[in-house]
Amino acid sequence: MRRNKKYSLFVKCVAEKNLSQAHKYLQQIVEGKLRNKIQKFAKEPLF
Amino acid sequence: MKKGIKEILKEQTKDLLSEDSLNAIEEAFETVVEKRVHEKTQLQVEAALVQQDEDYSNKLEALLEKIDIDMTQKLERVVEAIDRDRAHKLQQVIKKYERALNEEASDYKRDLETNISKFLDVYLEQIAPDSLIKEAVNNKRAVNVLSELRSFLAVNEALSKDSIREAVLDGKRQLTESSNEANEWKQKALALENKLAKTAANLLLEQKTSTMSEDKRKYMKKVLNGKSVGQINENFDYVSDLFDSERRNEKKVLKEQAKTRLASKNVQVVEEKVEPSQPKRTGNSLTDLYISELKR
Repeated sequence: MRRNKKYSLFVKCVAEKNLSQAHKYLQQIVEGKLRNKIQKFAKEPLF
Repeated sequence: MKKGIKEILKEQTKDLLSEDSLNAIEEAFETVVEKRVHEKTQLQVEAALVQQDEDYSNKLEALLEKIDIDMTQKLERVVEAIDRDRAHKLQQVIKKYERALNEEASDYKRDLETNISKFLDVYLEQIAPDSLIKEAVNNKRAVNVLSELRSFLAVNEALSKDSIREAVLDGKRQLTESSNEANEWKQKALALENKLAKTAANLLLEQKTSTMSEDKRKYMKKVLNGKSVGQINENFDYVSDLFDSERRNEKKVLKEQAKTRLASKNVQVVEEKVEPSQPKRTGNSLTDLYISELKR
């Protein structure tokens, strides 16, 4: 639900031309994606 | 047959008036009569027309009223039907828009989110590929592992110098060698200790059995061989008593056998058969049973 909410808020801010807030939401989305990738790679064995 | 005015005047006046006068009078009379008739007929026609007009207007009013009522009812029915139809269509329109808003709009929203997410995934893959992120993660993990190992092994930067490392390695080697040597000496000491204990036990046994007979000495050595000094001290007297009681029993048995042989030669005496293999049960049956078990 949180993921959907961020996308919805991002689209809403873009539609309303509230670009600063849209940038913040986009940043959160991208950070979430990168965090998931890092966690996925961290679970793999090192050696 | 009715007579005309001319004839009537002729009869009445008895030819007093001339023909012209009679004609003039007849003409005048007919003119007046026609005029009066015409007026009266006019009046009657007018009255009849007025009456007719009134009648027709009343009838028309009644008719119009009825038509009006009828039309009103029909219009009301029509309006009601139209209202119903329009209301039904409006409800359908409302339902359609509600469905469009709730389902189709939410589907659209979901599709939009999915597409945005996919686009971001592709764009991120172009900017920061998975291989790069994986390498960064592994580097960070390796750094953490190394720092933990350093703290665990108490190794710091000072030990990374070659001279100090050599000294530490040499010290470790010496410690290992000393530990191995200590283990070897320990084992040797244990072996010597065991040997000493055995020798002490043998010496004690020899000392204790020096005054005994050959058979007894052999028996004592057989039973107590391999035991410790403490065990020998504890059980020496008991084993000695054991041997003595066995000998006594054997002597008894032999005596009995000799007696029976003698008796059978001279006199037939019913005697009890004695089985030398089985010892005779005395009053101390429990002790004898115990002794027989120990012989095994």
